[in-house]
Amino acid sequence: MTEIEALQAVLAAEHAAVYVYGVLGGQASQSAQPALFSSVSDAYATHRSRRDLLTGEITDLGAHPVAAAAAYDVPDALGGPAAIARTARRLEDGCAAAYAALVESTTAHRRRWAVGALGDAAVRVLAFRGTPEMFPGAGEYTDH
Amino acid sequence: MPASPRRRTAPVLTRRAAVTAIVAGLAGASACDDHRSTRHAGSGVSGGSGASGGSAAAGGDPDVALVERVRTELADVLALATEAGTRFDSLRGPLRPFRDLHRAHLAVLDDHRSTGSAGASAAPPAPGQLSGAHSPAAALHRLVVRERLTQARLADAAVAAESGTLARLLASMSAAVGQRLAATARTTEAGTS
Repeated sequence: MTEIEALQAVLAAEHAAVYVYGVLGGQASQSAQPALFSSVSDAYATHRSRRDLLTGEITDLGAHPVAAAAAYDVPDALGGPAAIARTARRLEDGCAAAYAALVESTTAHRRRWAVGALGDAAVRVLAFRGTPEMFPGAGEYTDH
Repeated sequence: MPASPRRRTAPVLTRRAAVTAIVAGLAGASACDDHRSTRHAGSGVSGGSGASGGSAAAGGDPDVALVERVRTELADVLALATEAGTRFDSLRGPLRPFRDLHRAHLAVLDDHRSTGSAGASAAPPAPGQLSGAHSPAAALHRLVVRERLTQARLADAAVAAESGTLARLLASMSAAVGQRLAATARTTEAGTS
């Protein structure tokens, strides 16, 4: 995977994250689940910021940033906090894998940024009832 | 390009296959040096840049030396976690996830060595790293500080790696240490609130 392909893949993951976290934010109750609502809001802001940054980076490299899809798959039954947390975990796992691929495809400052983003995604999973992993973003190293 | 929130499914690889891929990457790294020439001052793991420079200057693959320094780093922090659990029974259980994590990481790196890439043995763990820590809280604090350092050193090693595959592995290890530290902090907060 080339650097630009990896950047585009991460941007695609961030587009999806922004969209889905927006939906999740509308489903989480600020009064009944303040911690969950806060985690979703924080995640939304972070992913939106990363999406904008990646769009600029890709443009600066002379490529056309991949566009967001018109809509993304969101589970139909988002009725409770458990489903919201489960969906958020899947998002973060996907972003972690994309950032791990970006680490592999880049060097220098861009790689360091990707290392940090991978670490952020790994920690954010915990806010959504995730459990620590041996190899976040690189699960093939884990013995099953 | 996956554009849905569904989990990305990584290619199905055994750990051995993944490690073999790293070895292949290390073997080919020298041929790829032209596009990976940017190095970072102060980006080495424990032992500093001097050890790396010595190996590279001698014509060796710098990633082999990097892996050896990472092994030494992990062996040291594993020894510290083991020592803390041995000295304080109350820490034995809570620190087990750290020990398991470092052992899993070392196992992957050991697989890499046994798959065919020769390298010097990791330095033995420094003994007595907990001297002066007279309580479980003090020992835990010292370990957390040390784990943070390991997390940073793994991140630095990921940035310094010539091989992208090795960089990805080291970045994942760094993320795992940070994740385990965050989980421990959450558990501690929950226990005190």
